[in-house]
Amino acid sequence: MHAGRPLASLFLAAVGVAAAAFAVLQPAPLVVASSVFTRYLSLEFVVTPLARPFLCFLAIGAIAIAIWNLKRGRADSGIALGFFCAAMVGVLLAQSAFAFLLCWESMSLISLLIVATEHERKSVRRAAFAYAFVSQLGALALAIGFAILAVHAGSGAFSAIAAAATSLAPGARAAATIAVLLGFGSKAGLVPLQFWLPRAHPAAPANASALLSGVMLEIALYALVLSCFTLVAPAGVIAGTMLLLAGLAGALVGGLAAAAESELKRLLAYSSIEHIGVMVSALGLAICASALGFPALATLALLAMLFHALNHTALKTLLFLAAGTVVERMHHVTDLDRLRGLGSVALRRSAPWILVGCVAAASLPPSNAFISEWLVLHGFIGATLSGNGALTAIGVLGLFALLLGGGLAAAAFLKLFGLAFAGEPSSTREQPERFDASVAALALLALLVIALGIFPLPILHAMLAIAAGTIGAPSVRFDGTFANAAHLATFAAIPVAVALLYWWYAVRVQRKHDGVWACGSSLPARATYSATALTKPLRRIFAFALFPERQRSLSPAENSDFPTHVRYAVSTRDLTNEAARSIAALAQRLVRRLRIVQSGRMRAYIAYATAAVILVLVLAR
Amino acid sequence: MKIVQVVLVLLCAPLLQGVFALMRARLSGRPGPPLLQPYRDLAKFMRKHARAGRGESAVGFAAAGFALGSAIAILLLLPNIFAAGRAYAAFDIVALVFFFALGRAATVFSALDTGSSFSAMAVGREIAFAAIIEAPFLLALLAARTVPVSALLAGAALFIVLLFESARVPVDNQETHYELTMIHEGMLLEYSGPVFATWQYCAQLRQAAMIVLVAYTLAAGGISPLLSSIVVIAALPVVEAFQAKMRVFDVPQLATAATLLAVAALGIDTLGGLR
Repeated sequence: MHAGRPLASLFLAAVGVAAAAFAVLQPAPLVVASSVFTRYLSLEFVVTPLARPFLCFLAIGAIAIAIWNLKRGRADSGIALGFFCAAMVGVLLAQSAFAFLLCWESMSLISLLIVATEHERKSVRRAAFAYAFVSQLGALALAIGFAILAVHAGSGAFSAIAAAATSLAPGARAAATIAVLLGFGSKAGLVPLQFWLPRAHPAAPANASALLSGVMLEIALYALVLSCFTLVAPAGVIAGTMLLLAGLAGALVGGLAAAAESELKRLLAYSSIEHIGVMVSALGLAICASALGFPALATLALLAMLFHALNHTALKTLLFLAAGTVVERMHHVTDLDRLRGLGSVALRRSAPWILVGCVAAASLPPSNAFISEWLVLHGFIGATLSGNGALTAIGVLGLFALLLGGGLAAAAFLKLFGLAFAGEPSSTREQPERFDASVAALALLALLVIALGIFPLPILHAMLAIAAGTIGAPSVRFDGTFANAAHLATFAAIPVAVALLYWWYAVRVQRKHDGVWACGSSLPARATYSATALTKPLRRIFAFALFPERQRSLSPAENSDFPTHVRYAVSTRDLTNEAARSIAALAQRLVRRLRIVQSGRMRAYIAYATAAVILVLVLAR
Repeated sequence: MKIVQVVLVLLCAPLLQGVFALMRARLSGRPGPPLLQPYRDLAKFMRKHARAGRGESAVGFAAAGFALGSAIAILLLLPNIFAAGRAYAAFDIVALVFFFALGRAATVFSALDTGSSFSAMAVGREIAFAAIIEAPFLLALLAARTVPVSALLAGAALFIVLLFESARVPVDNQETHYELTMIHEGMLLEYSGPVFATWQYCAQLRQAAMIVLVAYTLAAGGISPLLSSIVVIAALPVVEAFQAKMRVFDVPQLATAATLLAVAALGIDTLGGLR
């Protein structure tokens, strides 16, 4: 074992523990406002009630990754991830515009460095460029939005901005709202700014992906909640509807792309887009309901969002770490068309926990995501039955999109586990997996997933207080809904109990195994069904959105009657990705034009500096 | 009362299957199997020695148990058919949809676990259809309220869901293993013995549960529960006998129709509520 490995893991875990400690102990606010920092540039750090659950999510992710890192991943990666986590803690604690932007930008830059870890590969460099492009555009929008808000409030402190929010002029409010939605939405992977996610995740190391997807997306969600309910409050029906539509589009696009995808980490990235879509649509519903005068419904939706965020942290950290284990055990093969039967030998200790993660990602009982998805859907049902025309329309639309997207995501995870982990292994060369730290990390997260699925009530009660405080409806109670949730958890235990009973019977009764019927011969691994083939019906049904294309090449080409090799390739297209690519190309052309000003001669730069000083003097006169 | 219904469904689900088989055969001019044939089949499979591929491993058994457990959970969630009312108020419709999905997921998992390509072909279709049928299912249950027209439309939407759920013509065909278009039977091809009996029994339970749901929805529109149950039970073999199996890629249109019916029911219901 590398000597630095335990130390790096210890550092990462320490940052996680610190985050949890902040959430639990709630230390006194830290304000740095010296004469150097004017009132716009003060640094304030406070533990707010809204930030506390997210600090806990961060702690869960960081500690699990630290344990996994004891065995797998690059030996020194814990250090970089630790700094990344520290920057995220800073974002959660920051309560002034300057402090927030400072931490946000360090979070973006450190995560960019982590994504570009394996920069020797060209695909990684391209992915890092796409990520940098989006996150810097987002940061620019954020800087503009925060500047508008701070100038209006006359101070950079969030408390002052929140107090002045109600008196914002309509134009300034619209500009600030759009700016923060762009800034935070791009980080959260909201449609149509989601295209960097499926590129960055296959490029980044698995433990970094786990942190990016399991924690950083939730931080962006925290920022969205913070801005919609505090900084530009009240956000209004239009902003709520925009978020709702973006979220529903994310649920559909993410689910569909995940179902059609055959690369393991990209599939997980698309599933993140789907889950973020679910959460953001719940947030949009909360904003709309709050603006239309339904505080109870708004609280339910926000509660569902918070709980789903926790569940997504647990399940996506688990699945990305599992992907990391697959990468190391299977020598960088992550193509579902080539992975077979990992559960019986190569990953036999991890597979049961990964199954738990897949069940949760598909939002099926008895997992935690089932309870939160159930809450989200009950939120949309409440909207449908609210008696308000606009909310009814939102409710029906939401139910349709979430169920379709959720069904497609479930198909994706059934495909993932059923093909890659179940069944016979394709090769018998692999050593059987032994129990080690990486398996322990997966087991810990899986047990958390199950525990939250069976005993959701303590967490729900704690989150209800936070959600009600954020909406401003402290007296809202959901005793009936919570009783139903507890009821459901017992119902979800029935299949588990019956399955255990069957298992017990099957283990006791010795059985003889024969091979699968293959017309009397043995079935070679190459002849088993592939992930691409499995999703053919889906590609065909959703051809209007996926644009599947099939290429067939014969070799030798001139003798097509007797080809020796036939190559099949199926590709689908992602329209937002293509749009983003053309915008990036346009931007690069413009930047090339602008390059004339960067002549490299000292005289030119002195002239620029002089001109700038004169401009400032004239303007500040 | 509800526990009586659960026990009754547990006991009579295979009988219902026998009724369908007999009626379909009579309608197409054949004498048909005896009414109690499904019970005999189950008993025969229970006695048989399980001896096949990975389907009979402990994992395969556990998956079958999972499906059986989810079917039992569905039965416990079902509303009492004789207490007509709004479906949304009577039971947890979201949980019901998810437990149906759970049973399907268990079937798909165990079909893929056998490693058979033939099962995987069926799985590909199953997951595609499962994804598109969930939305109309929930919307139709949500629409099932006391306005008669909307109850009728929602009932029609749920009837289409029933065709998907119980693998009936025109979506699927229970009576053949050999068509490349079939879904449910294809997934269970590698199974025999007690596990196969469990899968068959699960499918019968889910079918009976769906029939209860459709009948309940129709009853909410003012028809008596007994009459609506008989109508649904009679309609299924009639559709099977006089309809041809659809081309597999035309089936999504059926799901679209179900969605439109459900949304229309919901719309009429809401407008009626507003007035």
